[in-house]
Amino acid sequence: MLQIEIKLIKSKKFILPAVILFLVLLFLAFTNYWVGAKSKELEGANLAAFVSTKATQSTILALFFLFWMLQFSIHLQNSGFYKMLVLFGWLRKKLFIYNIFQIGLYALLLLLLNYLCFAVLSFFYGTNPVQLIFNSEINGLLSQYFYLFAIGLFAVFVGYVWPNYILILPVFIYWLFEGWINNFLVKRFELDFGKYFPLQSTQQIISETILNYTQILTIGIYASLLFVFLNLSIQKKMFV
Amino acid sequence: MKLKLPIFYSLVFITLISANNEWAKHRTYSFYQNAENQAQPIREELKKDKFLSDEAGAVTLVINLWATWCGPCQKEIPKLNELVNKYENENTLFLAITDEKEDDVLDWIDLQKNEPEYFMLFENKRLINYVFTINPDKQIKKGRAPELLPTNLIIHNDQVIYYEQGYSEDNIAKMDSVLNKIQN
Repeated sequence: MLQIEIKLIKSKKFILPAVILFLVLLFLAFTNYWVGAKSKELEGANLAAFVSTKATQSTILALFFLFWMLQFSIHLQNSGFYKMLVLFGWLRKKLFIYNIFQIGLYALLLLLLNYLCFAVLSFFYGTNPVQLIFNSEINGLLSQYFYLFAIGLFAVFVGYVWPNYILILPVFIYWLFEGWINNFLVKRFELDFGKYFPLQSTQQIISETILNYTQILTIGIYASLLFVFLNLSIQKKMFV
Repeated sequence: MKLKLPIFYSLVFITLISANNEWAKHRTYSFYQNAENQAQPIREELKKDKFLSDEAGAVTLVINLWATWCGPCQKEIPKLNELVNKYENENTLFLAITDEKEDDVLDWIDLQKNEPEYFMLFENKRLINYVFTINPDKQIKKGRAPELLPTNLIIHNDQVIYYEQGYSEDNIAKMDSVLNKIQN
């Protein structure tokens, strides 16, 4: 699986979006450094701790991951890549495992890419990549990874069901709409049940320091549904 | 048995999230449990803030947990301002803590008639969680549900001597009397 993935990563269809993503992440990292160093006047280890906390709690990173995974998954569908694997004798069960592997790998790659952006800019703001590592909260990083994984799972599922690039737009609108509804309910009516919406509840993985059992259960239910629906869509897909 | 595999992965995912959560909980609470007194974690957070580090040693801490979207918290602002004018000195720090972003809060304040006159800490969920855990009334559930805001407490000589949730004239009067007792 890893060898197949390395071949995919070397392809132009992967490198070009990755370069765009890198530039966007670099800009996001720059804004975090700007706030930390200029507005809050932090420096050294304090600045490193500030930017790493910001990075691990960023939902924008997940939004870009969603776009990235969505376009990549749709590309693999439309180019007949998954179809080819099935024709070469892969069982659908193996394809499901391969998709899980892909999501895990790309979530890790995104975190590395993000770290690279912060590491590059660290030299311009009086800190360094080592300080960034030692001032990062390990639980925060793991939470960010799980959050990205859940978002990636959603993207791949959408890619299987509706393999069309136009889908990126409604997904983006839904992302904004859910956040807006939740904010509206909280600020206007002081109701917090918006936290049970799919994206909002998943977002709690990174936004809460400590999750309670209801939050874990809600996240677990949504994640399980995604695993089940992804598996079902792979089982039922007409590859030939 | 098409569900076996997704259920297996779901369980792995939930287990990993729970394990990470338990680990985070353990690390957070072990930090609090090792604290010398109830005020130490709050003072540690103050020391980290550039503008509040000088205030970390205040003998009396008057803490308000609030949010811009919380109606009762808004009503409370002028009352708290009165207390600030009456009791704030080098030994008494009035501090409001919120989990919202600094820019959002400042934008909100610009639109208000009554501007808070006390110090503020922004985006500090960890400290808010901690302050809920030191509630002497264990019946009240811990968390950041809207009905628990505003929360006001007074810490004097590193001990919680006043802790109330929700806004009322009575609560403000109680705070006034506690602060009056401390300073006279």
